[in-house]
Amino acid sequence: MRQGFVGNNRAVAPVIGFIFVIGFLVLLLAVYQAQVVPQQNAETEFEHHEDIRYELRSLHHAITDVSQKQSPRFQSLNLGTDYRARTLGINPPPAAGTIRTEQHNISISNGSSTEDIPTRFIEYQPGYNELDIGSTWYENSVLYLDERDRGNDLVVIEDQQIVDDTGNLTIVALQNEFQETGTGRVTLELYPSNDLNNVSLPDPNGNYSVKIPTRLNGTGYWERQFGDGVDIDPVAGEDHDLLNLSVAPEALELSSVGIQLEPTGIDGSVEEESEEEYDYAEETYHRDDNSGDAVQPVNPSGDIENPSAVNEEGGDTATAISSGGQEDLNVGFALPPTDESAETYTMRFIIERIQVGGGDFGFSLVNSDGEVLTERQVLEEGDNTYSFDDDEEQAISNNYDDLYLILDSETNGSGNRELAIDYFELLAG
Amino acid sequence: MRDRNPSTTIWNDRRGVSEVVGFILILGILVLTLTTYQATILPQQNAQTEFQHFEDVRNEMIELRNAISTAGQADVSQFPSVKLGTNYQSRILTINPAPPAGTLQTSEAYNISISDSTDTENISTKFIEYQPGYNEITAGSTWYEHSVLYVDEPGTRNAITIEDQHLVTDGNKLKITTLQNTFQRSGTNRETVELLPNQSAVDLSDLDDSEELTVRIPTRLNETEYWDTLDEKLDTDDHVGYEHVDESGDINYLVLNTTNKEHLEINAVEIYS
Repeated sequence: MRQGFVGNNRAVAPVIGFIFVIGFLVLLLAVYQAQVVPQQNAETEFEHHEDIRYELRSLHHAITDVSQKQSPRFQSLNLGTDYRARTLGINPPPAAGTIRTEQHNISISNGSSTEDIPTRFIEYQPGYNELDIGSTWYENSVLYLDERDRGNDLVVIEDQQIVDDTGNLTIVALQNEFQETGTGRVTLELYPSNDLNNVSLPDPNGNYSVKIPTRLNGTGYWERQFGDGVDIDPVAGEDHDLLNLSVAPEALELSSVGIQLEPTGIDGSVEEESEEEYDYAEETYHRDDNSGDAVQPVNPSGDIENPSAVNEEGGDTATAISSGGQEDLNVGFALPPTDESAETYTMRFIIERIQVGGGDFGFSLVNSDGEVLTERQVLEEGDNTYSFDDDEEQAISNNYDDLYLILDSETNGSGNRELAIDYFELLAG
Repeated sequence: MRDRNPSTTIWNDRRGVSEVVGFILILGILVLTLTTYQATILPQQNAQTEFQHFEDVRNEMIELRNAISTAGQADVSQFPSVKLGTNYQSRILTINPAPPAGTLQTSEAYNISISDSTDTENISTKFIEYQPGYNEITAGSTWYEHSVLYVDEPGTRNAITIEDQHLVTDGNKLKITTLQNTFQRSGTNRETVELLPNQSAVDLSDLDDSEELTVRIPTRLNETEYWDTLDEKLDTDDHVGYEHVDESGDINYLVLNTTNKEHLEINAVEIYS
């Protein structure tokens, strides 16, 4: 007997059952991969987020510690995380994170001149697959989670420590480039500044006006900290603004912390700054018959006109002059300390003009006791460099912070003796 | 009389109990699956567990290294911990090997010698080795010596650096943290390492203040493997100079010089369990 397809009621029950079971398993697996795996991975990411928050907090404390105790710290961060291992189901690649620094300037001004101090913000940017979490920033001792570009608010994790209860302003300038991406642990080596004393701030003239870069404008954070009167200048075209503070010179404390390397000094160009500060026009740094109280020469004669002109190359000249009829010229300058460990020393002079009858101008170096360290050498017009022999160089090294330059004339006539000096410098090589 | 039906001999008997045959087949497949699982999937999963532990221990060794430097240079006690081994995931039907145990121990002591033209001062120091005891993956020991952290892969000539040295960072100062006392722990648990600064172990009073110093630092690494990167980093006008690596003995010595005592800083850390 034959039946039509529609009228056929036979079935192979085990086969249909098997297909059902397989179908059910595949469905389960798909639900697991689509629902449970992302949930569990989000949980792993959230745990990492909690951990990194704790580690960034430790980093914040470590930076403060380094600047206060002047001893290094070695702080590590686990930038990313691996998801749990799975037999069934597939994970996305491990979540990597990025830590980077961004340079800005703090400026300190006395009203007429300004000193810029480079500092850096630190940004930690997570690279989660499931969670959508913004970057965590460290700027000037404030640690916060920035969710503003996601339409959320900003969460402050650690408050500012730049201004304390007594109104002191403590600035920690963070220096050196650092950038790392990955899923593993990286170390930030934090070193204190070696030369805090080399900070060359402009001379105080009442209160300093301090401008601190900040990304926190418009969040009300600084208003909550310092009251409604706080003054923030927007900076056009930049993602940061400047917070204006006014501070008495004695309440300002500066230090710097370097990442991976010692900071190069607060202003980044310490030596040049200290040279600029050295002013030969100051009474203690020159001596002639009429003015100056440098220790040498003890028996000055003649005059130095416009001594500040030798502070820098080019421009005006200082004139060492001894009028006709008087005795020979004998004037001097106190030299700034030089490098004690240099191998060679040379003396460079830029002489604009020498006017002398019969005879010459010369120079020698002495120490404060008047001991002659280098033999007298005759000066020529123009930009010339004068070298010393080994014994003389040893003597300069031994007296590196006690050097005086003596300028004198040896003439037989009695006319005007004039030496116009643009610049001189003791070079250590 | 022969009443045996020729059709029922073993060869031409066509009767069968299909349920029994089916059961035997399914049992056979199950046993086969179980053995395949035990032989191939289980070692894979255990290797994964071991690899994760290897990553964790790498992170913890970085923390240990940072803690030693902080204890020495900032003069504060530190208490990092290292999980020496791990446990495999628990299983119902199959059998795991014994949990992998690891060993964290200090090496024998070596001398750092610092000499001026007439005198030599010796300060002893040790390295730290973490030796994993994995069953599945082959991983070499992780070594700490003078702020360098590296994995010494067996069978390869190259050490894989995890954290670079900070003996010299900017050429201005040579900072050495020495490690003293003996430490040895083995097992699968987490062990805390106590690091106590001990400045009294360092005495450089015999050396002249202004003379150039030669510093010989024991190292397991050789020049081509690692230290030539330090050579490239230092300039001739730096206060710390690179001379060479002395590879003549059982242990190598990195030879550096400093222009005087001011550019050398040595501190000591004692390690306890």
